[in-house]
Amino acid sequence: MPYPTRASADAHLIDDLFNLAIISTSIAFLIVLAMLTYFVIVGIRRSRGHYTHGTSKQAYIFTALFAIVVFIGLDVNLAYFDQKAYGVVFSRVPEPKNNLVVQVFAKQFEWNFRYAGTDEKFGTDDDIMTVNQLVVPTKTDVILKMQSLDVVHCLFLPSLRMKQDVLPGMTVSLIFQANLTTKAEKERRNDPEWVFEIACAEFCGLNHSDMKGKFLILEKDEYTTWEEEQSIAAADFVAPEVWEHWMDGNSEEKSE
Amino acid sequence: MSGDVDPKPGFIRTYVFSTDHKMIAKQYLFLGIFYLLIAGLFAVQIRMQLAHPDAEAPLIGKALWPQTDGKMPPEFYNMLFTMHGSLMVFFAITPIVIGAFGNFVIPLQIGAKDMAFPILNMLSFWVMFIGGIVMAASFFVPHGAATAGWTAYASLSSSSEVTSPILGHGQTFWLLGIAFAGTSSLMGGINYIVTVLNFRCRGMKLLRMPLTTWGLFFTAILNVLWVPVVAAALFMVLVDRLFGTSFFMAGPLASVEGGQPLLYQHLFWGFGHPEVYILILPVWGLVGDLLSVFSRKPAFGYKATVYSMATIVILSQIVWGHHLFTSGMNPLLGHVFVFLTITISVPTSIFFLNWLATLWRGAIRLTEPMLYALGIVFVFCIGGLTGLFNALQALDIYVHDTYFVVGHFHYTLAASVLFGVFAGIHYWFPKMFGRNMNARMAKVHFCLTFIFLNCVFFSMMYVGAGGHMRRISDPTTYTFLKDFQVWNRFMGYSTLALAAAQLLFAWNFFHSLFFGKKAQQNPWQANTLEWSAPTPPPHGNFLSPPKVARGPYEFNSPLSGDRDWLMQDDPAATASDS
Amino acid sequence: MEATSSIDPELEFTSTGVNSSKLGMWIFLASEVMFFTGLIGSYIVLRLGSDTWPDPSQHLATSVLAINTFVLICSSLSMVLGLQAISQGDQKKLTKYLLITILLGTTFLVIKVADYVHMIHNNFTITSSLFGSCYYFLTGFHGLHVAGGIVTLVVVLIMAKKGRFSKSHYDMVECTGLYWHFVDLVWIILFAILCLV
Repeated sequence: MPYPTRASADAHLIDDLFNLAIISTSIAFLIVLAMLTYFVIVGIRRSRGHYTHGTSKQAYIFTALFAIVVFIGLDVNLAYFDQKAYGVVFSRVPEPKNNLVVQVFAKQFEWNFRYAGTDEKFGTDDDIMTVNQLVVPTKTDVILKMQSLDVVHCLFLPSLRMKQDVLPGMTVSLIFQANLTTKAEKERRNDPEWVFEIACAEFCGLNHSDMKGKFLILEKDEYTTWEEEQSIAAADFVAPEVWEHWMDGNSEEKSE
Repeated sequence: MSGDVDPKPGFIRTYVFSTDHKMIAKQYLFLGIFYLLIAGLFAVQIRMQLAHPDAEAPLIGKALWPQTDGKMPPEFYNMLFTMHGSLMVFFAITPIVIGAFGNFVIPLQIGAKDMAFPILNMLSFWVMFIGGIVMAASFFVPHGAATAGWTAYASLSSSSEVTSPILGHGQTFWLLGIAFAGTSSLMGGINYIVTVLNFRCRGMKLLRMPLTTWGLFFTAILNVLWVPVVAAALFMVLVDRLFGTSFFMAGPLASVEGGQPLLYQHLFWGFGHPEVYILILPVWGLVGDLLSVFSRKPAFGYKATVYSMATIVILSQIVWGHHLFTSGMNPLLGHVFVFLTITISVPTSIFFLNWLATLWRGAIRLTEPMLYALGIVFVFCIGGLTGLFNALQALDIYVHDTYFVVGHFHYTLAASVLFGVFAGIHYWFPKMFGRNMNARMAKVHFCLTFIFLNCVFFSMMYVGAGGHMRRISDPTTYTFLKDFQVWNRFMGYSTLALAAAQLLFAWNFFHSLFFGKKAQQNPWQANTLEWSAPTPPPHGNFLSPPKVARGPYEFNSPLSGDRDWLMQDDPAATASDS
Repeated sequence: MEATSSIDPELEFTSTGVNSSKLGMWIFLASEVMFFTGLIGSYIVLRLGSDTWPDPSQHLATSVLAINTFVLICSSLSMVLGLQAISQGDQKKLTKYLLITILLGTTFLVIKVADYVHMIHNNFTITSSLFGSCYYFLTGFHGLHVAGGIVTLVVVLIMAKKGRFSKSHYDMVECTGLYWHFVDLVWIILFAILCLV
């Protein structure tokens, strides 16, 4: 199946679930199709149909049994694996020492990111701010705290199989851990232009189609270097105006 | 009341402000076909844009956008998919399936002279008509028609026209147009329910009604209950837009604190999920009818089908949350909605069981309505099963707002309902217009439509599995979607072919209207009451009030003698209780 | 509302035995219930989600609204009396009570509008706070329903004057009554949740 490259250890759970769903529904579909075709081909030569009257008790019992088989075999089965995958992928509890908080501010039509910088405090001079570029280290729990300035947006990270609506007036979080660096994937593909991407999945107006960005995954030490460089540079940098509207004040401590 | 038959109404009373349910049905049919054509052309433009995002838009490009060398600007693309969805749902499918089939079939199938409230019926058409004009007019206001998607999520749609004009007046027109369509559905719904409950002829017990009527009856119930809810939400959006309130606004754009954008999504999908059943229930009923008629065999599990429909009506009202898995809704609530949603597949699987069991040991007649009915079983099976993917929380988060979802609901709504539309038109055309449609042309049309429709919608699900977002005007700017461009081209050309195939139908329909062979009274040898009425039925429908003696599917009954069918009101045999 | 005059006896037959206009009215009321459920439900969600909800009595003239509630309840009463009159065949009394109902309904609207004007004068407008938006939106829609009811009542009154109703035939009076009681009930709920709680 044409799934995008996986950049986290958990993403395969979603792909596995997808495959399982495809296989089990395909079986159901093929059974229906086979019966449909067979009954039509055989029935087309008959001149008179078979008469039944009302619904017999056996028919009711058979119908009920059939419904139970479908419900347990197909639905409950899939729902079980679904809830399992959901528990792993979307209920991640960040490790206390090994995490990174990134504030995400969505506006028409760009993604703004803010990092606490080397002092690990938001609202200070060394806050790193990027536009349309999310930079994260591997093997670290990343906590995205997201707000929208205007309308409903949706942060979509195809490589992680994750998606979260970003609404104005409230903060929502998304927690993940990436395990594949952009560099490694570039080398594997032998394509220096290649990048992981973020996109807006909820229609948000005129240039919704252009509301996208790069998703850079760095090795931990590379990230530390990047963070230090950017923090120093940030002092001379005028913060984009959008951050004045961030709701919970601008001096949030690093969580956990 | 339904008895006041003016023997010689004038031209206007006959063709324009008619209160005859059959004429109103025809008016709905033509209105629906008109908007089906318009919205279909939008679909072609959408797919052509996605196939060649950098090229000049064919036919209209040079004329409309000379400054960009004919390239379609994003606002126009947004307008296209918004109006494609809105017009298809509210002004094409609703008028044809509910307006035309409902009006034409319900009184005839239950042996009534007319609807319960003929004047209300006429008004419901004209309210829909006004709504259609408002929608059409919205293209000509500054900034053009609505561009917030057919779901019109707040706070994009509710941004004030005065203080923060993100969208133009077209969005306000859209709200009004939908309000008119909703009012029309509400009026129709009340009328259908009263007619079905009160105007059945003698002997027509509820459990002797054909499944089509059952489907339309349940549809009417959902319409009456849930259209007002979306109306409430849309009025709040309207007030947000015009008076600058902030029911659905929050953050810096809001004029006062405390509005909740998420509330809109709950209200919208509270209506929106029943809405898909509103559109599909009549088609399910029609499939049940057609499979029985053209298998020359009683419908298997008639009562089980009715009860399943009733179950779905109830379940459909409590599962809207599966549209909101990514919305920031409480995850615990999400688990509940997963469970509720998967239970829908129980009644749905009973439909499939009953349809297949109806075909089993039947004498299949592959007439054109039957082909479409079999087509519905095929495409709805795909649509229903892929619905399961969207019910699963973890998986739905990945496919949410991708083409997978688009493919899924096009299988259920576009493919199934469109086949339902064709099946119904071919099936009742002889009764409606007194002439036959060309069978061979219809069969060719079915085959072509079936092939290209699957090409388009299955490809949608394939690229959706790869994460292809919906509602983006230029997928080529995304690296991870580069490989799908070939699929987008394929879908583009398939859509063109699909559209071209519809010319066959259009020719067949309009040619047969005037030059088709004169139809017999009961060309399909069916049992239900509409075939007992003269062709075409006069004002008042039946020459004498019918008296029903049996259920609708007594094919090959021992009582029927040489023929293999036995009309519901056939007095020849003694009443059998079913 | 459909005019259901001149019923031909054969058509009195209905499968359920319930009069069609009345059935239609009940179904219409079901949809109205859903409409106001949508509105009131939204109000409750918005109110529970807000940290800065003001004390209603700060902005609203509760006593005036209480009087208005009384007026509307009286109008319901006179509607009942009118219905009772025609069920005994008293056309004169029906006309009288219909007139009283219309007058009371109009009084309700007049007080309502005066109240609006007064509050807007005191800077409590539809955009001054979320409470203001909800208040005007909910009572506004209710006011529209009252206005619609008054128009229907006027039509019924004219028909009553022409002697179109009798002891055995007064469906339209009954249906209008049902609607009017519903509107009354909605107001009592609105008054309670907007002004008192």
